[in-house]
Order: sequence, then structure tokens, then C-alpha cells
Amino acid sequence: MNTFSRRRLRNAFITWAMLATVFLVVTLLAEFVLDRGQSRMATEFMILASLVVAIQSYVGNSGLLSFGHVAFFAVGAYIAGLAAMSPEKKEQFLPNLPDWVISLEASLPLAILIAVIGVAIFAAFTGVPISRMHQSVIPMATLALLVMTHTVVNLWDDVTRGTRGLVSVPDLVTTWTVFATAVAITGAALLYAASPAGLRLQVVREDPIAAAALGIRVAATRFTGWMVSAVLMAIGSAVWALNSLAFGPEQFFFAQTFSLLAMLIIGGTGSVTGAIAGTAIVSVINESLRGLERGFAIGPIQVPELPGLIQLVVALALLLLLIWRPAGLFGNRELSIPRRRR
Amino acid sequence: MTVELLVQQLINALSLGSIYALLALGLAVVYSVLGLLNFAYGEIITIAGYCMFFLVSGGMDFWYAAIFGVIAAIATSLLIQLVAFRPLRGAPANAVIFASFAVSIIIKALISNVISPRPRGIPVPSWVDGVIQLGSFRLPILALITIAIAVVAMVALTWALHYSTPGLAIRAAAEDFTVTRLMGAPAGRLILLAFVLSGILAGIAGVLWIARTGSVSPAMGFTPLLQSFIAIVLGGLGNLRGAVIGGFALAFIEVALQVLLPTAVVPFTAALTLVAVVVILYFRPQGFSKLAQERVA
Amino acid sequence: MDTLLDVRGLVAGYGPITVLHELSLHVGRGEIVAILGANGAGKSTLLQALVGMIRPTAGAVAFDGHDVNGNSPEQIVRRGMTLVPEGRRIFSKLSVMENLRMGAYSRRDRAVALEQMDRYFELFPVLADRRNQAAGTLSGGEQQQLAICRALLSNPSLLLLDEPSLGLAPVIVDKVFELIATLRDETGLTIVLVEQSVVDALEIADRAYVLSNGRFTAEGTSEQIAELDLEANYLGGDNA
Ligand SMILES: Nc1ncnc2c1ncn2[C@@H]1O[C@H](COP(=O)(O)OP(=O)(O)OP(=O)(O)O)[C@@H](O)[C@H]1O
Ligand SMILES: [Mg+2]
Repeated sequence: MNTFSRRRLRNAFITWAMLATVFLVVTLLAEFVLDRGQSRMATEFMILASLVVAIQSYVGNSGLLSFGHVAFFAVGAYIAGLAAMSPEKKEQFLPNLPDWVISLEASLPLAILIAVIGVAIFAAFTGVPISRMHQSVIPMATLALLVMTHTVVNLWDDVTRGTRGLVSVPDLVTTWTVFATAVAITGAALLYAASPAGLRLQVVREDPIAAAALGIRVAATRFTGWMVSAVLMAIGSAVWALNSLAFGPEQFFFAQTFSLLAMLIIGGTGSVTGAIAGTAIVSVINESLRGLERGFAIGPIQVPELPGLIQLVVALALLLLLIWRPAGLFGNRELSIPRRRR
Repeated sequence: MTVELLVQQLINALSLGSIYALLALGLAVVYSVLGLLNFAYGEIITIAGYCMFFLVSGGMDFWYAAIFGVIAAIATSLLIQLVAFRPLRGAPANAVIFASFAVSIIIKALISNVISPRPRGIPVPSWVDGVIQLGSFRLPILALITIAIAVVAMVALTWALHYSTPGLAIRAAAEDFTVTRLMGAPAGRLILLAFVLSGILAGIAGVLWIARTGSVSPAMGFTPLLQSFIAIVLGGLGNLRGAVIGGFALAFIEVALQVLLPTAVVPFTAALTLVAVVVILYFRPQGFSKLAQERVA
Repeated sequence: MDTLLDVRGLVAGYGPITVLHELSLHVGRGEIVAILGANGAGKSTLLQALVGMIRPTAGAVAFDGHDVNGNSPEQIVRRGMTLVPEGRRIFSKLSVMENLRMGAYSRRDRAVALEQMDRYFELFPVLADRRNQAAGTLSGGEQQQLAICRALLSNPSLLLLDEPSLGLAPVIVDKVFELIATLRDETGLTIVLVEQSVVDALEIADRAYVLSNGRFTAEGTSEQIAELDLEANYLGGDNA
């Protein structure tokens, strides 16, 4: 378990190539075929898929559900947004920021780098105690992390502008950058799952006690997965922020957590392919219900605005799906070429 | 700080701790049997709260309404088990956890849509807000009621878990579910019983919580869920005595922080409490479970 | 002899893995039947399938004239078949007395059970002395006695014992086996005994089955099985 297995690497590479092709098709469609609205949706899909894959790299390999990744999402998005915002805008909206932050005007790569460093520090501090907990409480602990982060983001007016959120974040992202991000994150997640560290985490997932008996350091292994996943999440969040241009604390709370996890779980936490497929499915449901949520008419009856309808439908669909297929649509299977008989 | 103030804060912490202890017990009882946390636990309190809201608005006395609140809590707890836990028996833990989270989302969304997303007040009888003057000490009536009800509930629970046969089976199942079945205790009924107990405890705690806050809102269940979770982790997992110890410990930490922190950071109390808890867990990953076990022996 | 347990073509395993391949065995009323086999042969799996802890995928299990295949553990205890699981698995945080009360859980006649308890306390005097102590504080041998006594309190007609000698000192093992023999002689209890210490088991058993890799490879009276020189031929080292 200390060296890369060639077979695993080869399989990971094949899956990566196939998923990258899917993203390429989406990108080409967005660039050359779709109209502006649709192409925006395609871009958003790829960003969301990156985020869901980032979450998958922890949840899938460790078997531990995390509600805390949206906390990383928040931290990454705010840091990237603040780093890239022009000094004039910062002066205008956030005059109480320290001078060195105000004077910073980061390019896309620099903004991503700063977000990664910030999120990594945040993840390291939170990951140490969480990784040492009993596996049955880790999901709840991550939920607590989400709430704590949300509280701070909500109240820290000088840095986050509180409930008003960040505005005037520069648009530094093109469809091609999003494509590159999605491909990179997918590749990293697949590589991690095939790596010795990822394999160890999967062994811990199956049986922590047996893994410990084999000499695997359970807490350290979980911590590594947590960090890998946090870094991927930070990259995705930074790109998300520089594509969204304005956002507030409500975008990093229960609804977002539920939506991202629903994507992950519908597809199946066990595979990167499942994560991407789940993102596609939920995105389609979201789009098709968005109209209904604003209220509609059945003949003469006017159905009023139904905020939360999407959430309700997705939640119900998810419950039914879980009863039918507890491991999600893909389970542990990845996209790959059909195996040859030997 | 004067002695009077200290006593007052102590009573405050004790009454808050009573609520947390009951809440934690309700979450822990299901956890001890199933090994899973119920993420829709907070919504038991929400539904109990809305049930009381409608009854009190309809003119019913607060404390009568409280009884119906507890009944609603039991019903909700059973509903959660029926929808999220029963159909997924034997499924991976993540699936069950997410199912209960989905139920929580559904309940919140339904309340926001059907009733209102905004908080609603529940008038609490005014005598409850009074104080008893004892020499120079001012003892808030609600705090005393809270402590008394919680003590009675905990004594009753302890009695039931030790002297009734189904209660004994719950404690046995907490240790070894399979062997408990081998002894002839039906799995389904044990789980059901755990959810009923959980509903009763959450219901009682919920009523006391609402008497304290005087309002209901769709997301009101979240704080109780989080506090009971912190309490059971602090108390050392899967042991009911630990849940009680953890509940009181959490309340004391919270009240101490509120008293000691400068006013500017008071809005961050919840977050800081979490930080304090994480620090404690860092040095004692098993929480106060040593303490809890010593008491058992 | 009157057959109490009749198993035909039992197939069972864990998920996709089949461990037991078409096992057939029968146990007469009042018999002690030993099931012998190496580690991983499937002995515990067989007992678990009998009491309903795992669901057999094929075969028939008739107990006391009833088809119990596919019944849940709680139904099977009520019919009178009780397992003392491998590794004792007493409730260590409950007191000795509470463990015994759990043993009587399946019974309607709890008053009678309490009387019986007094009788068993004569058989297991240690338990009487320690009745209010947490069961986890008992010694290994005492815990094994508790596990057996707990099972007896369900008033079984068939007692399944999974390696009662596991982890016990030889002197204590002798005592436990003595106790098992006494139980049969005094109460007419039928016993299925899974064991790895072949000599001890064959001493008290009437008949024995030899299980290897999920199949019975020999069966017969204790004397017949003893002559096979099992230690060398079946249980030694590699289970080829
Ligand atoms: N829960 C389980 N899941 C998957 N396989 C299992 C499980 N329990 C046992 N097995 C496998 O079934 C086979 C038989 O196991 P079993 O416990 O019945 O053996 P045994 O004869 O009782 O051995 P021992 O003498 O060591 O107790 C073994 O190969 C074991 O690895
Ligand atoms: Mg065995």
C-alpha cells in the first residue's frame, strides 16, 4: 500500500480521459453552439461539478459524509473575491480592511493560490480535531463547522460586508478556464483515489479497526483526505467566485450544502463519475423547476410563488432514490472502457 | 461579581443545562441503539413548537398546549423513523444520515411555504417571567420550573431504563444490538421505542426551550440539534450519563463566555463556544467520558 | 431417537460470499452433538444461520417440528433455540442480574424465570455472589458462565454453544465442560457444541460432525471421530 499500483493508475487515467472529453464537449458547445444563457448554464455546471468532485474526494474515499465543505467553499470564495477585487472598490465597500489587503489586486492564478493557502490553513486547524473523532460523529461535527463559519461570515462586517455580501468582484474567468479547472480537479481527485494515501483511506473506510491493526494511522489518513479535498474545494471556490461576481453568506449555508450533497449522493458518493453525473441531473431538475418556483397558472387557478419548491422536489426525489439505491446511481463504478476478457 | 449575581448566573446555567441535558438525552438514546445521529432531530422541536403556537393562538392555555406539543414531538419522531430510518435499514450510514438531513430540509421548506418563513411569537403566561425574591436573591420562576421538570424527567427515565424490561433492553441494545435480538428483543420494536423516548425528551426540552425563547420559526430546530450534538460529544459518545454531563458542561461554558466576554464579541458566543469545545476535545478526545464511566462503576 | 433439529441442504454466507455449502445435519433430543473444524471452517456461520442472525440462501431448517428457516432471531429464541455466541458477548456495562434478566426477555412467565434463576445460582455460585456487579468486571471464566446462564434463562430446549472454551485456562475449560455435561444429565437439555479443543469436546459429546471449508467431511459417534486423529488430518495447519 505504499506504492502506486499501475493498474489503478491506468484505470484512473482512462476515466480521466473520458470525463475530460465530456467537459470538452460541454465547453465546445458553450463556446460555439449554445446561446448566452445556455452557455452560462454550461459553465456553471462545470464549476459545480468541480466542487462536487472536490467533496467526493473526501466523502467517497473516507466514507464520511461532510457538511463542512461548504465552509471551505465560503472561505475560498471570499478570499479569492477579496484578493482579486480592485483597490478602489475595496476602498469604497470595505474601507476597514487592512491596507495590505486593500492594495492587493490579484490575477486569477494568484487569487487561486491565495485562496488555496487560506483554505488549507483553515482546513488544517479544523481537520485535526475532526479527524480524531469517532466516525459516527464526524458528519455532525462538519455540520457544526458549517454553522460556525456561516456565523462568522455573516457577522464580520469589516471583511465580508455581512449579509450584504461582496460585490464588484472582477470577472477573470472564461469558459476555457472553467474547463481547465474541472479537468484538473477531476484528474486530481482520480489520482488521489488511486494513490497509496487514497487507498489507505479506503481501507479505513471499510473497517477502521482492522485498518489500525494493519498499522494504518487512521486519524492521519483521514486528515490527508480532508486536506486534499479542501485544496480542491478552494480551487473550485475561487473560480466560482470570480465567475459569480457578487455573493453573500446565504449562498454558503444549508441550501447550498444540501444542493451539492444531493448532487453527490444521487450520482453515488463512491465515484467521480457519479459525482459529475449527479451534478448534471440535479442541474437539469433545478433548471426545469426554476420557472415553476416563481409561480404559475393552471387554467384559471394562479399558483403563487413557491420558494423552496426545488429543494422540496429534490429532497423527495432523493429520499425515494436512497430507498431504491442506497449507494446512488453509480455506486463505486467509474466510467471506463468495457473490460476485455482474458 | 457579587454573590447574588453569581447565584443568578448559576441558576441560569443550571436551567439552560437542564434543557441541553434533556435534548442531548433524546439524541443520544437513538444514537445508542442505532449508532446513527438523527439529523432531523431539531425538527421534532420545531413541529412541537408550531403545534403549541396554533393551540395557544386558538386560546388554549400554554401548559395544556405543552402537553400536545410533547405528543406532536413523539409523532414527529416516529414519522422521521418511518420515512428516513426504517426504509434504509442496513443501508450505508451516509445514506441514512443524508435521508434524515433531507427530511429536515423538507419539514423546514414545508413550514416556510405553508405557514410563513418568518418567526412567530408564542405568548408565555406572564407569571412565568416573574421572580421569587429570597432575601437578596432573585430566583427566576421559569428557571426553577425548568430545573424541576428536567429533574423529574431524568429521574423517570433512569427508573424506566433500569427497572422496566423494555428499558433494560434499550440499554442492552446500546451495548450489543445483535445479542439483544438473540435474547428475544424484537429489533423493530426496540428502535421504535428509542424513537418514542427521543420524541418525549425532545418534546419536553422543546416546550421548555419555547417557554424561554417565546417564539417559533422554521429553522428553530437547528440550535437545539447542534447543542445536543455538542453535549453528547463532550460527554463521551453513546452513553446516556455522558449526555447529561455534556449538556450541563456546555451550558456552563456558554454562560461563562457570555458573562466574561466583552459585549462586542457576544454575537459570536455560539461560534466561540464551539471553539472552546473543540479545544476541550483536542486535549480529551473522549470528552468527559472518563468522568461518566467513573460514576457508573 | 426423536429428532429435535433437522437441517437439510443449508447454504449460507455473507453477501456474495457463500461460506456453507449444502450442509445437512440432525440432532436428537437430549443429545450433545459436537461440531469440529479449523479456523474459518464456517462453524460460527452455521450457528448464526441456525438462529437467524444470517439468512440462509437455500435449504430447510426444521426445529421441533416447525420450519424455522428465515425466521428472525427473536422468533427463534421463542421457539426454544438459544445461542451462546462466540466470545461470550455479555453486556459488560449491565450488572450480572440485568444480564440474566435480559436472558429471560423472551419469556412470558417471568416469575417462573426468577425461581429458575435461584436454581441456576446453585449451579453458578459465583454469579450469585456478584449479582450486582457490572458484568464487565467478571473474569473470563465467570463471564462464560454468565453467558451460558443467560442463555439458559430463555428456557431453551436446544442450546448452541460457540467455542465456550475460547480464551479460558485449561482448568477452567474442564469446569465449563463439566457444567455442560451436568446440564444435559440433569435437565435433559439438547446441546450443539462448536469447539476447537477436539479432545475435550469429544469426551462429552455423543456424536460429532467435522466441518472443513463449509462442508461436512466426516460424521459419526464420538468414538468414531476420535479415531480419525483429527488434529493431524483435518485441523492441523493448512486447511487444504
Ligand atoms: N461478517 C462476515 N463477513 C464476511 N465474511 C465473513 C464474516 N464472518 C465470517 N466470514 C468468513 O466466513 C468464513 C467462516 O467464518 P466462521 O466465523 O464461520 O469460521 P469459524 O469456523 O467459526 O472459525 P473460528 O474457529 O475462527 O471461529 C471465514 O472465511 C470468514 O472469513
Ligand atoms: Mg467461530
